[in-house]
Amino acid sequence: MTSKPLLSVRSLSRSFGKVKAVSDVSFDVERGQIFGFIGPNGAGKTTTMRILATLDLPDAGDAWVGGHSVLEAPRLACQQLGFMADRFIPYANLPVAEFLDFMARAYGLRGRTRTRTIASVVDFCGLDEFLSRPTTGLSKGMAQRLHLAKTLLHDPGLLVLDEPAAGLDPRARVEFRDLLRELAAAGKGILISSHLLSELSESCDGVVVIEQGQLVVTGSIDDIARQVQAHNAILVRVQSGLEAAERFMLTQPHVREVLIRDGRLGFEFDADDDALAELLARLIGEGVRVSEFRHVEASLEEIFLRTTDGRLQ
Amino acid sequence: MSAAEKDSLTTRLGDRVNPILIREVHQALNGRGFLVTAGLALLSIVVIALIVAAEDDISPREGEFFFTSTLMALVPILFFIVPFQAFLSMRAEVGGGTVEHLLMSRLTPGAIVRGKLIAATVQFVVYMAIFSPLIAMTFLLRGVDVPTIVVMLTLAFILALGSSAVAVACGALCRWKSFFKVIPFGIVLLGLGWVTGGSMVILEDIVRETRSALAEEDTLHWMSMMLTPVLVGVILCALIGASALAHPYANRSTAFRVFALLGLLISLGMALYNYDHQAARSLRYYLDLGAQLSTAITLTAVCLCLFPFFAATEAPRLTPRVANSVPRNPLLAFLVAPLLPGAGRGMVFTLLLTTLALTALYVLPNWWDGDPATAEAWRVTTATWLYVIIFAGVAGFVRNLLGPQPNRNWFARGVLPAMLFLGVILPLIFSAVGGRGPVRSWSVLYIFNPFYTLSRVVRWRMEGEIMVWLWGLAVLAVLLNVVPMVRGVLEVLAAAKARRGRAA
Repeated sequence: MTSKPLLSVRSLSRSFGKVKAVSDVSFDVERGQIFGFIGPNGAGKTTTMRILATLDLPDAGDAWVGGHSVLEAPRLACQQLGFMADRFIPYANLPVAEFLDFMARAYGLRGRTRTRTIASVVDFCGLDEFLSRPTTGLSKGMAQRLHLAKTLLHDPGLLVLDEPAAGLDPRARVEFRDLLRELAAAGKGILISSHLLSELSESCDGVVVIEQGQLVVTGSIDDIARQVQAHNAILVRVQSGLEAAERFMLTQPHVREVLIRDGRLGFEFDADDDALAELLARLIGEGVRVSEFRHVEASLEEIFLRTTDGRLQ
Repeated sequence: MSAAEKDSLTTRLGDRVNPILIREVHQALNGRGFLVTAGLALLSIVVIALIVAAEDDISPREGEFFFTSTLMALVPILFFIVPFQAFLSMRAEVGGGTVEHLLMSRLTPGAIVRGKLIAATVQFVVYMAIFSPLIAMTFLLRGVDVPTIVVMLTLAFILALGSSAVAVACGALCRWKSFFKVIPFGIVLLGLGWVTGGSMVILEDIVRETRSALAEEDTLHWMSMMLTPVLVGVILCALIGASALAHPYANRSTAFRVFALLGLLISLGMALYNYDHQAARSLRYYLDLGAQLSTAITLTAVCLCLFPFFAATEAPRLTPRVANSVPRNPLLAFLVAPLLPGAGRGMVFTLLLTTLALTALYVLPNWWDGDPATAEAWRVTTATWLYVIIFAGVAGFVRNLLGPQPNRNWFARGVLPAMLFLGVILPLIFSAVGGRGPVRSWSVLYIFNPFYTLSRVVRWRMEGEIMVWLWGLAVLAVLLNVVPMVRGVLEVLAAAKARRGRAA
C-alpha cells in the first residue's frame, strides 16, 4: 500500500485577467523531503504558494495538504501547513517572547503546552538571547529565524517557505539551511522557493521548475540532471600534456565540445561506459599522465538554465 | 498530562482570553502614546483640581463644574485617541499582510475585530481608573449625584465603543485597493473629530438633560431608545470589519443577512416597547400601534435597503469553501439557503424579509390589542418595501447576466446609482424638453424616483395608480429572477447531497 504524499498538487490554474499566473501545475512532496520551487521572476511561484497556504483560490485544480483539500477544508489544511511569506512585518512595542506567546495563543496552544512549545522553537531557532528584544529591533537574519519560529509553533507537517534566504548574509544562510535540514530529518516536508540556486542544490532532494505559470520539470535533482544531460559530461585532470590530451580528444569518435578550463579538460561523450573505458585507456597510451577522470553531474543552475527560457509574463 | 502538571485555573482562564486583546493591550501600554496620553491626563487632573481649589467658596456648582471639566478631559481620550489608535493598529495589521497569517491560525475575522474592540474597552477602563479620584471628588463636592455620574459614564462608554467600532471597521476596509485607503482615513479623522468636538460643545447640556431625565424617572426608556441604535451600529461596524478581513471566498453574507433580519425584529421590538411606554404614561405625543409599527418598518426598509441590494448582486455560485459548510440535512439546507451567499439566494432573502415586514405590520397590532395601521400607513410601508424588491430585482437580473466571476459584483451594484440618477434626472429632462415647465403632478415617468413617488403616495390621491405600477414592477423584478432563485436553492441542495455522499 502506498501512503498519500504530504503535499499533492493537481492541475492547479490561476489567472489574473488575461495573465495566466499558474497553468495546470501538478507535483507531489513527500514527508522528509526538501523540494526547491524555482523559476524566473513572475513564473507563478508565489501565486502557487499562496494557493497552498489557502490565501488564494485557484480557477481550476486543487491541492491537498496532509490529505485535506485547500479548497474544501482550508482550516484543516492550514493546521498541517506552515507558511513563511517572503516578508516578515513585526509588531511595534512587542518583544520576541510576547510575539511568540501571542502567535502560540492564536494557534490554540494552551497552558504548559504553549510554554513548552515556545521554549522548544526558541531553542531550535536559536532565539534564546533575543527574547526580551523588540521584534522591530532584530537583524534580518534573526527576524527570519523568528519568522521560522512562528511558522513552526503549531508543528505543521509541511513548510511552505517563500524566499526565506533573501537578504541573509552567508553565515545566516548556512545556519538557516542547517535548520531546514534538521526539520526535514524530523520528517517535515519542505517546499522552498529561492533564487539562490546554489543554496537550494545543497539542501534540496528535488525541484519543481516552473516558467510562465507552467510546470517545466519536477522530480529528484539526480533524475532531472540525467534527463537534461543528453550526453555524459566528463572532466579530466592531467599532471602533464594538457594540450596533447586536447589534440587527442579532438580526433576521437563520440567526443564533442572539448574545452580547457581552469587547467582541466572537459568534453561530452555520447557512447556507453565500455567505449569510455577504452577512450581512457587510449589516452593513457598516448603518454598523458591522468590524475582524475570523472563524470560531472549537472548543477541546479545548469538544470534551471537548460529547462527554462527566461521568458517573463 | 498528569494531575500534578495540570494547569492552574488562572492559566486556563487566561488561555480563554482573546489573543488579540492580550497583544493589543501589551502594545498599547508599552507604547509611547500611552505614556504621553496618561501624562497629559494626569496633568489635566492637577489643573482642574487647582482651579477648583483656588475658589474661596466651594459650592455644589463647583462640583458640577468639576464633573463637566473631568468629562471634557476624558472625551478627547475616549472618543478620539483610543479609537484612532484602534484604527491605526488595524490598518497596520491589514496593510502589512499580517492579518493573512493570523487568519491561517485559529483566529477568525470576528475574533480579530472583537479583540480590537475589547482592547479599546480595556483602555477605556484604564483611563477611567486614572480619572477615578477626580470623579470621586465631584461626588464629594455635592454637585452631581451618583446616578448622573453612572449614566454619564455609561453613555461615554457606549459612545467610545461606537467610535472604536467605526475606527476598527475603517481600519479593516484599508485592506481593499489603495484607492480606498484614503477614504477610511478621512472618515475616521473627520468622524472622530466631529464626535469629539460635538460632544465637548454639548456636554453641559447633556449633563443637564440627564439630570432632568433622572428626575422624571424616565431614564431607562430614553437611554434604551438612544443606546439601542448605537449598539446595533457597533454590531454592524464589527460585521463590516470582519467581512473586510475575511477571505474573499469565505462566507461573508450570512452574518449580514442575519443582521438584517435581527434589525427588523429589533425595530419591531422598539416600536412595541415605545408604544407600551407611551400608553402606560398616557403621553400627549401618543401614537397608535399601527402608526408606530408602520413608521418602524418603513424606516427599517430605508436603513436596511442596502442589505437586500448587496445580497442580490453577489456572485451567483457557491465557492468550494461555502459549499463545504452547507448543512448535510436537506431540509436544513433548504431552510438556510436564503442566508447563504449568491445572487439568486439573495433575492429569495429579499422576498422573505419583505414578507416578514409586511406580515408583522398586519399581525402585531391584533396580537398587541392595538389599533391597526391606517390605509395610508399601509401604502407608504408597502411602497417602500416594493422599491426594495424592484431595485434589488433589477440589480440581481443584471448581476446574473454578467457571469459567475466575483469581480463582476460591483458592476451590478452600479445599477443602483444609475437607476436613481436616471429615475430622478430623465423625467426632469423630458419635462424641460417637452416644455411642460416645473413638475406639478406625478406620472409614470417618475416611477424610478422613489423619493418623489413616495412623497406622492403620502400626500396625493392618485395612490391607487402608483401602487398598481409599483406592484407590477415588483412582480416583474421577481419574475426576472425566478430562474436564478430556483437555481440558487437547487445548488445548495446539491451541495448538501455532495456532502452527504462524501460523509458516506
